[in-house]
Amino acid sequence: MIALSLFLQFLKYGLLCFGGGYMIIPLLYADLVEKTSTLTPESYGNLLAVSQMTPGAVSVNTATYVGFMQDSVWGSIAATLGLCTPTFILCVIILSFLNFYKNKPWAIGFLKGIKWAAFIMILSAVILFAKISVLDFSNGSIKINLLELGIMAVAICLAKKVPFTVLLLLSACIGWGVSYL
Amino acid sequence: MIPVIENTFVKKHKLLKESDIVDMIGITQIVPGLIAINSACFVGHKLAGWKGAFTATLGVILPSMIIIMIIAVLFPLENLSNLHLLQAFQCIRACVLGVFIFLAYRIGKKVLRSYIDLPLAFLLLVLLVSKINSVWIIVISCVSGALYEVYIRSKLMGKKK
Repeated sequence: MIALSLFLQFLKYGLLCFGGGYMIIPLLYADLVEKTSTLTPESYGNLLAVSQMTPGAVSVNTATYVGFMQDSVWGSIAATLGLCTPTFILCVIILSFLNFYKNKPWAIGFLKGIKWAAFIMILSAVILFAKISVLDFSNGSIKINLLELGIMAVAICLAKKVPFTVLLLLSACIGWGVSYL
Repeated sequence: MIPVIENTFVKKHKLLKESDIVDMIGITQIVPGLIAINSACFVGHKLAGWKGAFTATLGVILPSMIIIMIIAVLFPLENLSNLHLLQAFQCIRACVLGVFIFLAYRIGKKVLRSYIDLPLAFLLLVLLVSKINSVWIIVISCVSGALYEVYIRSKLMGKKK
């Protein structure tokens, strides 16, 4: 039954992730960390980082991982299928009526709205990650971790030219090295 | 993803036309779901109907599923105890933050174009900070985008008459 509830949960995300996987980040955070507390904010961040590093769509990777944590192989199959089902059905339906919505004002406006939502969702992901990496709220006051701030700044500057996977692996090496000091 | 599809299906195998690729980009934006899955559905559907769409989608998700399952077995991320790994992940999270800030800047540059965009962005940000469920933010922004565009078009049509 865990598999069935995972399938339904990811069906919802599949319906809501327009135009890219980043939409899923705040949605999953609200459900997994805030509502059910299956994960701590930090381990949620780690999970997303691993999904970024491995090949394939970020949200498929995340769905597989979350499913695996809760119900091993069947869980990951259920979660990933849930994520893909709405897309698959709608795509087949829409492809059969391709000319119906082309150049309609509501369709163009809808697309604009999707871009808006994508912008807001990535901002919310930025806030989320700031809380679990650079900013430290542990003792009631805000502390800024300088090493992490540095890594963040370098990542911003290099993100245009260096592939994300390389950046993530490099910072993993830095962290690994620093831990021996 | 899209350039790879173009290379294989249009240039190499000549199964699709250039105009199909343009249609595909339009569709991947408007259908809910991931771009990779949408494009796979499109190519599969074009070449072999719904069965093609199904097999193409499976083809796109299987490799990442297998890789992630292997990782999930090897590193249980939910309770890391190794000090070195913890520190490494601390730095990885900072790097992801940097990458996201860059992405937000890039998307923002595309989105913040006209004056009407600013108040809307502000409104959505307020909603975000006020801890409303993100589902509503997506719904509100899509519906308001559609309504605004329909309103502007109808006004333009009125002027022409």
